[in-house]
Amino acid sequence: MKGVLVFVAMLTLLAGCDDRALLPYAREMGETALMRTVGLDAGEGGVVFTAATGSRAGGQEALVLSASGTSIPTAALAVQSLGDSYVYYGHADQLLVGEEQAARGLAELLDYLAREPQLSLGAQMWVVFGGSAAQAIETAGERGVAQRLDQLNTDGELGAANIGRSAAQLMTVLARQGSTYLPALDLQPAREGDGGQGSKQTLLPGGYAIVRRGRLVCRTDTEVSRGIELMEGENAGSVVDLSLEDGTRVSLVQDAARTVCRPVFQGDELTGLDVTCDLTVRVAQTGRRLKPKELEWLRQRLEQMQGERIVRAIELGQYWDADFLDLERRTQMARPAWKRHIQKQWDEVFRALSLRVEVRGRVERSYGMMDGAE
Amino acid sequence: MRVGVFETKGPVDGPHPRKEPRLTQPLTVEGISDVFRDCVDFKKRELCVGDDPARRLTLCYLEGVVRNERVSDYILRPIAQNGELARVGEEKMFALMRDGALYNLTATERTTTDQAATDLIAGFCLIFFPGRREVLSFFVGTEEKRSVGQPENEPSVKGARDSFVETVRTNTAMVRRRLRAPELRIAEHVVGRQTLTPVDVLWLEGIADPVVVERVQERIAKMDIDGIQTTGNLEEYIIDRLDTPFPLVASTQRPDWFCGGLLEGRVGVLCEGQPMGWLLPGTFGQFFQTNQDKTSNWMLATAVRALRWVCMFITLLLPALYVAVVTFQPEVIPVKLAMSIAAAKREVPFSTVFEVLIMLVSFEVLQEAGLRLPGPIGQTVSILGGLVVGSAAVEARIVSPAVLITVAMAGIAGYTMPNQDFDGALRLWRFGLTILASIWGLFGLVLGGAALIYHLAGLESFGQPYLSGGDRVARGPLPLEKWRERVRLPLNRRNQR
Repeated sequence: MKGVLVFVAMLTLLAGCDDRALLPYAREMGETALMRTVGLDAGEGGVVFTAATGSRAGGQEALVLSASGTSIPTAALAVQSLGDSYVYYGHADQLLVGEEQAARGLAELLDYLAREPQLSLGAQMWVVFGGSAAQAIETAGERGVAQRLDQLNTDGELGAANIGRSAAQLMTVLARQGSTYLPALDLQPAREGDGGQGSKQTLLPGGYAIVRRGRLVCRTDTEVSRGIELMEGENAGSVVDLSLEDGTRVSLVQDAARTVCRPVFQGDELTGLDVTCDLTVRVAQTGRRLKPKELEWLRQRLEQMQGERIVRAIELGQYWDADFLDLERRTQMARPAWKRHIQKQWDEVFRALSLRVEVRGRVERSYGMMDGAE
Repeated sequence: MRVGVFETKGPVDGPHPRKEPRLTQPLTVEGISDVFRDCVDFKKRELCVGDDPARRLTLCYLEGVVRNERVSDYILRPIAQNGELARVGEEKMFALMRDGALYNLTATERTTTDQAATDLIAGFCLIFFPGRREVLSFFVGTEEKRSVGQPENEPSVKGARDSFVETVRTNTAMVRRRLRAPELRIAEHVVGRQTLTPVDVLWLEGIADPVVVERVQERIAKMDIDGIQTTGNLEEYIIDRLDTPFPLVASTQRPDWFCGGLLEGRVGVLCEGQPMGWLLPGTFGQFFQTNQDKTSNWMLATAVRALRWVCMFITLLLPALYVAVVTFQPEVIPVKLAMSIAAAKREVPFSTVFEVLIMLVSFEVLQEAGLRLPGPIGQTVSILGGLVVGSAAVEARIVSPAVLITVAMAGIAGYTMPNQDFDGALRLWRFGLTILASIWGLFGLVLGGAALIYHLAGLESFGQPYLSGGDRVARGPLPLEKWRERVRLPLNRRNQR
């Protein structure tokens, strides 16, 4: 037993205690406001830092605190002094950035996230368009916006909303390829049936924000957004509506997409990209039984449409000289032996690379009430 | 013996005078009467041998300790009816009675007052011959004992249902019935100056490590105490260390489990007056095993054993882990759970560690109250206590529901431990770990866990490391378990073909 006491006494030396704090500081959870969502906007001469709890048990309203400062830590400290509880960011897993702040740059924010022990780099990030991040946080009112963002994130994983990006992913990708995309949110006036439940504004998925060298450069439209999702192979569940020649509307649900990007060389010179996308869809809705010829027509139409989307997504990257689809690494993976050639030439030739996109669609048989009907 | 913090600085064997011989009276009727003076149960009776009134013997016994019919049928009747005893000389009569004229299995010649008095107490009667220094001692005890019942503390679902009783000889007989090998050795020691309690050491010659057998016998022989009344009287004198709450010997009420231990190469100890047996050496993994493990399918048994290990960690660590993460590292709690805990905690006036300690102490109090009261009342106290301390405390916002669930889960997980002494040790360490976690958070918990491992790694039971890996979590199919564990150094490792 004496040995145990000596052993414990020796182990306490590992506690990292110094002359300022012998013991770690304990906080009671009952006196803590657990922030779920953090928003960052550009302010006059600095930033506006907003933090919100999720919906709280016992019918309590979500707590939203906002303060401005010349830097992010200053604003965050100002938020700490507000409210009646200790503001704790250990559970902040949602990070909204206003459009203007994103255009100013995300480097400072990422640096702050990496250095602040409470904030996690695992937080999911969105760029807010049509309003500020603070407004987006306040859209849900007393219910808090956290649940809505949680759902958007889950939908994204299921292919029903934008592809999610965490701060850690953003940091990694920016360090590797200099450009990437972040899911965008649209702050729009609320309307009946959008789930806003009385709020004046509502948050909707709104494509992607393209970030180049840490700054927002543009926002994608719907076609480019679908192209990005096809390239990433994370479009399961998205729907394509097509009309047959006789006006019959057919809805196709995409089950899987796998895109491979190969480099095209002329001699040692990288001249183009050969993109092949294998796409599997199934018929989700149709008014009658489809004939084989019609299925073939649908397949061809689908291939054409999705091919154009992919081309538009890649061309957007070429326009901004932003390889946000990570094409360089993809081509290197497809041709490992040519890795150094690609690496050496990529920055120079990326914008001028010719594209050959091939989509190989497959419409899987599906059965419905109309099957067997004459 | 290492006793850690209880180690005395002076010599361990201080003066403890023992009077030898214990009784100074002569071995005569008067002498033995003097020994048992003022004892209402001491009886003596003069007998005529055969039909000769001139030849007289004196019979002494303790009433209540002997069975009257045995004395009448096996002692008095042959003396009265055997005419030859009256006709031969006294020397011859003594020899005849000692060698079989009286119908008794045990006829012993005693020459000292100590022996004679001890025999009387053990249920013998003494026959004094006029003018002789020797007496004859015959066993005529009542042998009143509790019948063999079911093991209440170790219930059996499938398999044998008999249990040890308070009589050591009955217990050895139960072992003999299961282990019919002539190699089963039973050595007896008498322990206790006042209780003179028989303590038997059992082992299978050719299997058990003779060094352990010798060590056990040596420790029991060295015991010089007033008496054995409780199990602790024996356990604490024979174990290697006293500065640990962990049991260093395993006890069981079940003869089948006891015999299983002997077959594994362990040494058994049985004690008069204790309805249980001890198996030595005791190792950490042994306390996760039950005899049920060998009556269930091997896969099920392995799963259940693994569950017990998980429960051990739950009962030991859960309250401390709760205090650490809620007070210091809330970020490791899933978001929704954290929000729920925070909301419930908002109305509670006490700190988290105080809440947990209150509940842990309440749990111990309830358990103690339930144990000490008679069965039905104990149950009522437990139910009322559970309701009051549980739901009422939560409704009154004295503790938060999460704390109640945490402490209840830790408590219930502890009940899966087959050995209550082991569970008790875990409960004791649970308090320590909770306090450490309340000071340093997860670091404190890790620190306490390291100290616990350090402590356990330093323990030995009869020369075998307490953490030695002889008792595995997994139980393989019995036909494939062909070897006794090497760590117990059995003389014969093979247990089947």
